[in-house]
Amino acid sequence: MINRAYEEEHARAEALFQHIGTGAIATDELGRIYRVNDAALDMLEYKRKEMLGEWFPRVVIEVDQTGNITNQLERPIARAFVSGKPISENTYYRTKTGKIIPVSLTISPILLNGRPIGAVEVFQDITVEFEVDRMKTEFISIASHQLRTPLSAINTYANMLNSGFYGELNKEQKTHMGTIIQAIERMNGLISTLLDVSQLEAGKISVKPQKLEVCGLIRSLIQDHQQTGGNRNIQIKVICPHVPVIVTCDRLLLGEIYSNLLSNALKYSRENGVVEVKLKNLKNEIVFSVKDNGYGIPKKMQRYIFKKFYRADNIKRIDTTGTGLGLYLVKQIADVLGGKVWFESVDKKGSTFYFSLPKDPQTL
Amino acid sequence: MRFQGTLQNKKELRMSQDSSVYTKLVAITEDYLGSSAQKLVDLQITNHLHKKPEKVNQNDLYCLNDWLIAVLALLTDDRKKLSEYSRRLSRLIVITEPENNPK
Repeated sequence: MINRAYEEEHARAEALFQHIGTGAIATDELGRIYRVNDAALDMLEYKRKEMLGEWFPRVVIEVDQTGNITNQLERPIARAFVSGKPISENTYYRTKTGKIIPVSLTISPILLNGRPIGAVEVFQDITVEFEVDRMKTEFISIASHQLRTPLSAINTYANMLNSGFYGELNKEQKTHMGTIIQAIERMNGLISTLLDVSQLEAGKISVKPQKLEVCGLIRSLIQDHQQTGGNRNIQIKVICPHVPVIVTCDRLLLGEIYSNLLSNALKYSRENGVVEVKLKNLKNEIVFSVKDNGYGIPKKMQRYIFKKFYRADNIKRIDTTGTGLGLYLVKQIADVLGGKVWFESVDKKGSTFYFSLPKDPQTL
Repeated sequence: MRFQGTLQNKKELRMSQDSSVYTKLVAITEDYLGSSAQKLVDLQITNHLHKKPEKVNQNDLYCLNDWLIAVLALLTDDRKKLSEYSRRLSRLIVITEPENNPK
């Protein structure tokens, strides 16, 4: 009776595994593949007998976009065993014939009484999605370039009109010109962000490392952002080491990260709030943090916060002008610079965003 | 395979006399993972046992060892090396039993 029940359960699991519609591979606790479905075999171009019993890292080869093999400790399967939790991400696999395919995967450790007895991975080829995304990025890049030229002309003439170059404006005209100029600035900012995103995604961003003093950079950015909080009386508190903190980094890119985090904290702080900007000088890295007592990010939305065009629901209701590109840009630049970005947030209480950067890029 | 008389055995016996379970765990893991060992051991203890690394005790090793072996198994296909690591970790459970244990 028990055997029959076991056999039925096994048959159901096998059918589910084989016909799940995405590639699926199961390994034992020593990384040996003991089950693989047809979709996985098709994508990786292996025959079943070539995969069964094989060591997972030998046949499921993870590479970067250019074909370099990923460090085994950084692979999702290793990170799943380190964290004990499922890992989902997009990466690249090299097939048996050497073809590089982008995949979206989820890998999870299989546990028995809290101890690992293997792992199961499901994955799918996302070549088409990648191509669509690339075309979309290319379109945004071209459209942004095309928009910038006429916008420069509008900006120039609007400012000339506003400054009285073509004759004095009355009070009402001045008010309307102010609105026009603000809208131009917002559109300019949006175009710059879109261009930054498309350059980063196309791998065209160039990093120009130079020695720079970070506290000075932070103070000058704070000065630039004095108006971001509007008339909500937001106080900015700065905690920086008393000695100069020198790092080797691209000034513009680092400034872009700090600026985005600072601007978000100011935008999403409540009236009479305090934004605390802190720089910690550690042995091998510096950690920049921005803490606000604003709206916070609801827990269920936190995992999506660095995704492109994503905006948490509570913020969409408060501010309708955001693009959802700021934090995506921060994450992309952080990756380019070899830094790490993360946050802590409590819904309705506020968030703290952190960005750590190695002092010397060679220590990466 | 027995460890008596080997360099490894001497190292482990010495460790058992003068260091904590945590130190021994890191020292053994270093032989296989090099400088990444401490970080990995720390993460495994924090993530799976939800305690500070230095608070790890002998009872924790029954569960923790499986996680450590699972990660090493993704870095090397050398079965001999894996079973040696597994054996050394298991041995740690015995070696680190309290000295006042009548056994």
